[in-house]
Amino acid sequence: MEVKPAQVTLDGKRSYRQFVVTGWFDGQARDLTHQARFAVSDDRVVKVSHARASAAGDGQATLTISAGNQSVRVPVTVANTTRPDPVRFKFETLPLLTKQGCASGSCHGSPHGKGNFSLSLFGYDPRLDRISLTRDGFNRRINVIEPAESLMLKKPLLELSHVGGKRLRRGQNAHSILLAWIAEGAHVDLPSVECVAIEIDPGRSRILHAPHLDQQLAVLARFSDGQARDVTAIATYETSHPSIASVSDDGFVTGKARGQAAISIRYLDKLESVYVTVIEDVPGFAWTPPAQNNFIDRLVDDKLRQLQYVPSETCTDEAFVRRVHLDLTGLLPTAAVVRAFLGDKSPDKRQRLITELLRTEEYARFWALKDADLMRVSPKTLKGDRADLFAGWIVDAVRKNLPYDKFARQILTAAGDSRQVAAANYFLAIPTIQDRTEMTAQIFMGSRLECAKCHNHPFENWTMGDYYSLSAVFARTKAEDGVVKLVSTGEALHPASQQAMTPWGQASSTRAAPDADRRVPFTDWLTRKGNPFFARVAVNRIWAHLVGRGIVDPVDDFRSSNPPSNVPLLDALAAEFERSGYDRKRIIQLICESRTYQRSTQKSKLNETDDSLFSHARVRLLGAEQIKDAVALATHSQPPPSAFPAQLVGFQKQAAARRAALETDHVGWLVPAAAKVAQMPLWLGGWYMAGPFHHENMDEALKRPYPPEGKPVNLAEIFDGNRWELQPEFRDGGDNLVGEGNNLVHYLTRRIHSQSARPLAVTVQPKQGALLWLNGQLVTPDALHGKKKLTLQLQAGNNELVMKIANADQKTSFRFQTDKSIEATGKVQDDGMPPHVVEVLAMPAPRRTDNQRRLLRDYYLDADRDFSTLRQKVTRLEKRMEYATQRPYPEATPFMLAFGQPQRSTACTCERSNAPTLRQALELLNGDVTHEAARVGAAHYAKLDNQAIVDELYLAAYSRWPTDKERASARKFLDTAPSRDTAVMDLVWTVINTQEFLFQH
Amino acid sequence: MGPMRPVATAVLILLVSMPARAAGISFMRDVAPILLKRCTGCHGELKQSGRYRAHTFADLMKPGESDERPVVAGKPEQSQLYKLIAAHDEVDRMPQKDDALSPEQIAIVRRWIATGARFDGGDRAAALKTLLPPRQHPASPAVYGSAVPVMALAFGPGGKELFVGGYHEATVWNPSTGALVRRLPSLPQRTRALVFSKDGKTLLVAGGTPGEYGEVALVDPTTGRRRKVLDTFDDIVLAAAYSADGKRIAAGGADANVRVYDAATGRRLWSKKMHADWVTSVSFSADGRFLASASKDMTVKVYQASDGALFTTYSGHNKNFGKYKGQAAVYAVQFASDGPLAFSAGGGQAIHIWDPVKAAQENGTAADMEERFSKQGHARYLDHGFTLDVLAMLVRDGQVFAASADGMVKQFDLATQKPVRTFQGHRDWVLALAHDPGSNRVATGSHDGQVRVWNAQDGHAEQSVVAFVASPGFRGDTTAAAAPP
Repeated sequence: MEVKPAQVTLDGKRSYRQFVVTGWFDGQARDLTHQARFAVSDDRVVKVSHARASAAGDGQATLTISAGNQSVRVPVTVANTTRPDPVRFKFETLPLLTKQGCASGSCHGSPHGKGNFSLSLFGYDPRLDRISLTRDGFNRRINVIEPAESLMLKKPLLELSHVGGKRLRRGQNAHSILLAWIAEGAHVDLPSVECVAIEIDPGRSRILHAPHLDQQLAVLARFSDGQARDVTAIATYETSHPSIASVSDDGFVTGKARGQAAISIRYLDKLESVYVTVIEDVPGFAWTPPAQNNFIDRLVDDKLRQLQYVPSETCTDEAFVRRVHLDLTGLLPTAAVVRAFLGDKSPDKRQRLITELLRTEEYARFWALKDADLMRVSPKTLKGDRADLFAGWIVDAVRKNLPYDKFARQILTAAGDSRQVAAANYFLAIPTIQDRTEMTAQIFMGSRLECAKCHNHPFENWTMGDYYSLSAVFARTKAEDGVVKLVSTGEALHPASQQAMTPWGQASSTRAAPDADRRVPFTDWLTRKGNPFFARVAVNRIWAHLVGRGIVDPVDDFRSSNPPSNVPLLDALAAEFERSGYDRKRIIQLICESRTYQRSTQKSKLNETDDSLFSHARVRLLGAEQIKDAVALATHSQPPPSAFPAQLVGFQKQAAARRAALETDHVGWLVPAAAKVAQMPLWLGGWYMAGPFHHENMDEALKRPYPPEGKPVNLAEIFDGNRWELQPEFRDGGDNLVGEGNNLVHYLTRRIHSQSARPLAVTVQPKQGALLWLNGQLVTPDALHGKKKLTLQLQAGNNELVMKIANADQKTSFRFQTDKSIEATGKVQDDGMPPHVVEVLAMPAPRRTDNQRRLLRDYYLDADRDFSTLRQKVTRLEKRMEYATQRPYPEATPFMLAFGQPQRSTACTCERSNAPTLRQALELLNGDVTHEAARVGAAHYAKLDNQAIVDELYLAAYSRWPTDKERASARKFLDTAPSRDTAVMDLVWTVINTQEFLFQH
Repeated sequence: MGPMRPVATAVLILLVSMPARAAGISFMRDVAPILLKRCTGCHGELKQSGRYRAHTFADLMKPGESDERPVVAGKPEQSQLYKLIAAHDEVDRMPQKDDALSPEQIAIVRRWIATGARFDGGDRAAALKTLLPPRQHPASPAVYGSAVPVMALAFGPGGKELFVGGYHEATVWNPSTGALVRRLPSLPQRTRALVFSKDGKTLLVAGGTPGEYGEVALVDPTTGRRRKVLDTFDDIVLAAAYSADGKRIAAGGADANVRVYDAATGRRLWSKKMHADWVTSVSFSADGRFLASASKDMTVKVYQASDGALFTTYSGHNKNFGKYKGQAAVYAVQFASDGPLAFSAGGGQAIHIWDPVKAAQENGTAADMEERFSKQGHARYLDHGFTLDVLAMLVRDGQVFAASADGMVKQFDLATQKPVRTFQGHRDWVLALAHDPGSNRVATGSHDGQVRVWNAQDGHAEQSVVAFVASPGFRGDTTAAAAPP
């Protein structure tokens, strides 16, 4: 027998201590708290009721607690019972308002309260609560003269109409305490003491074996002044699964049905959970040890046996070959691969297939897609070729099996130009500190922190302090113009205290140098062995990808109130991951090799109710990319990826040959091209741009000179990190995008060459405000706003045009065009050659830099249609563009979106939906994708004889041979059809519209 | 219903054997209080569990979700209302998840139905609680154990006495010495407004019990006897005022109603519910043409005082544009005694000064909304400099007095728009203000029960003339209970 606590100290006349008495029967714990007898040596000192000792008077006494033939003696010391012991607003009144539900998010704790009465969510802001309770509404809620008349009691007692219903009963502890608090004067002192921890007896987990389904909890709160108080009566209890275990207001847990539940215990901002496993004897259950391939099976089977579920059989080779291909490569196996695998009689063929698939390029691309989902790799957020660069880096990391701690470190500590440091694009995809905080927590810590931005997390220990100390990690990382740089200022302030938070991972005592990278200590903390999140979150994600459900589910919602369905399994996988040096491939291999992974989806009476312990495999709808590719593969409407390498080499060779030819040609082209330019009476050169500079007010911005202003243009000059950069994509006559963002100033310059002094009429149309200078002279005394015709008085030779553009909101752009309608303008070069190429051609050849030479050559190469076609083909194959599972950011088509392709606007795996919808049915039955695939597929299959059509189609689509019955009826259909072509098409269409095709099983 | 259980049967036999005293049962006197105490919490205006409501007689008689008739006159056993309150099984019994009605209460309902379920309340569609007669108020505490917040103040005629809202009473004090003069007992639980009639012979008292009852009464200022209860409300009355000619009385409160009465006859002239939230203050214009009501809903409504037709809504306290923008509750509105201007204040940084006629012109239509947003408008703003909300305000002879939750009381000169004096001394929210024109003294009252009297005449005397806790017999320390604002 075990009694907690082993000794009791009661301080104050209202103090009490809850006992938890545990009996051990054959090594199994059973709660005896309410069966045990409590004998008191001196009832003037202590009284016991419902296993709760409460103070009666100062002194010492002994409690003898007995059950069966055992007893335990507990010494009790009671002090300070003669002193007043007023109700503490912060530590009793507010927790009670949480406990009774008043301060919950759907009631008065919602942002605007309810019925004119507003409390902070779960009492996170006692300053607001004391105003609400005692001052607001002209002292409406509290009546210190007749406490029982207080509205804050009469409403929840339902003595007056209350939308929130009955929340309080007379005689209930909560009612007495609230009433006493008001009677004592409704004091609202807020001492600086804080609750630092709560401790729960009997501990973190408990097994309730029917018929012994009760468990009393006891909650002790520890405070920053060293005091500890029993808060069992005022803590808030919640169960994750009311149908499995319920919990009373006094912390009394009752098992209801077989399963696992988490009981969350909240006191102020502290939250702990007790995991309860309820076991009932299942009629007909008998455990026959199943075959086990590795530790995963052992741990899964242990849990199944404990909860009395019998695992399903191992799946067939047909199911396995399809399942493992889809899971590891995203693609269906081809008919040939299936035929070979089914024909292989060696016992280790499954293991060999797993190893083989993990070596493929398809594996690297498909698994990179999962990371790219979370990292928000999308051309919408990462402009130019940055999405490609980042995606390529991720694919390469998976291909090389970069240890996951290094993967995280390279991303989280990335700095520099994102074109050179691809991982730095992580910070470009999420420019705000808020996103960085929340995404980093969600991706690497599996935690949804966003609630803690405005209030302490309702279901978790995350506090606002945690949120802003993680924000502080990224407060000095700036991402501008594609460059991630570290700066030496920037703090994250706690909104309540306005204090700068110590960055996460940095010891609060140390004062780091201002330019130290705050991300390094955080990453050190994150990737250190034994970190509570990093390894668990990573292996849980892998598990969920392969098995269809996380051990913690959802995979990015790790919190004590959402426990793993199999704690030892998650711990063992995490330990193995750390031991292996964060080797993701190793974990994938272990899982795929396990019997657990290889179980059949066929359920039995003895496991059909299990949905979280992995007694059987799950039937899953294929992902959007998988379906699209499966349709293409099964219908042969695209060549299988195995054909890629040969094709690629062919195209690469052709492209190289063409390129060599063009490079030779281009030397011959240079001289005549330059001569042609030299003949031009007038040409305009390429645009160079410097900026952005920032401003507060547009009018002032146009008046105030920024560094590039008021001096001759020197293209090599650097202004605060800004430099003149060539804008090769700017076109005369077109809308040229200068920049995106608010309140920016940009400078643009170009050279205009004229053989003689002459006027040049131009039309300038800045989207917002602009000024122009020609050869240092301002030509727009009034700033331009909108379209304007100007005449530029050119001097002979080179002229320098400078334009300053300021904007106030979102985008800034401009148009610039020489005015051909004015005779005086004369001929301007117009042979389709970009201005910056003309400008370089106008230079004497020896003065051209290497870059400028390359620019001319690339222009010449790009102009060749054959070469660019070949290059596109190579790129497409290199990126495996044809297959959605093989592209790091697959196109968002209606078909893909219907099947739940994520938009990549959050770091939540929940963005990818696998719920069946009506749109999916429409896409499949009537959509272009299936129709076109069936048409192409029919052309392919029609070449075979009727027998072969059925076999090949079944192997390609279902990874199995047709059954005799299926073969017979399909043959009959084909043999007797009036039009064979239509019949083949119908058959293909039917196959890709079956559940067996669309689901993984 | 299943087979009757023995206990239930025994109760029924007992009830059946009781003599039905038809003459002795009154719905309004006997049944309605039970309904209001135990039923309308879930079956009323706010909540309609089971789609059944019992807060008006008409609703009480209408079937809810079950379609069973709640009351079949003469037949309690067929009346769903009776069956449910008398049900033995806790799963079926009303009130749900709560203690059962007492056997006496169940017997009363039974007898009322058995004797014909007659209604003796008048208006079947009116909320039952408004049909109840005015409450008889209990005695005030002989000695206050805790200080009661001061929410209403009035100087008696000639400024010789200061009337203070207490708990179930008003107390009368000497404004120079702070000595208790007499007590006017058995008034509403809380008093939010004390106003003297023009002749000084009648004290208008408005208040009630938060969340359940409001009352406006004309009281004898010498004895405290209620000469006439003008009206009762569903929630506490927060504001009351006399018109300048003394002929009309207005009141409004937490049930969002604004009502106007004939002061001579006590007859209700009109009642309007235009606000979306508590009515916090009411004021008649000097010429008697308008009545203005301020509300926590961030608006001030202006009505024609004669018939209650809405004249305009002043929305200056809820603006997204301009220098004085923000969303703020309005706690005080007052018309100047000598012109058309209205003064309003609450949250925000300024007292708003505006003319209802111009405000109406500026309100315009939806079509010119954009234009109106860009306009400054005619309102003027008096920056008050308080750090928290203004809770009380008075406009007198070119002077504005305002009191704030930050504990400060300020006097402003209207001509210069500048603060003249800051009266500093309260350590809690200041909720009430009164001014005596004769002595030019200001009385203020705060949440901690303190009353202070200040000299608004002398340029230097910003210390209070006298300060006392207006809770007779209170001996405690008022600062202990106070939360810093």
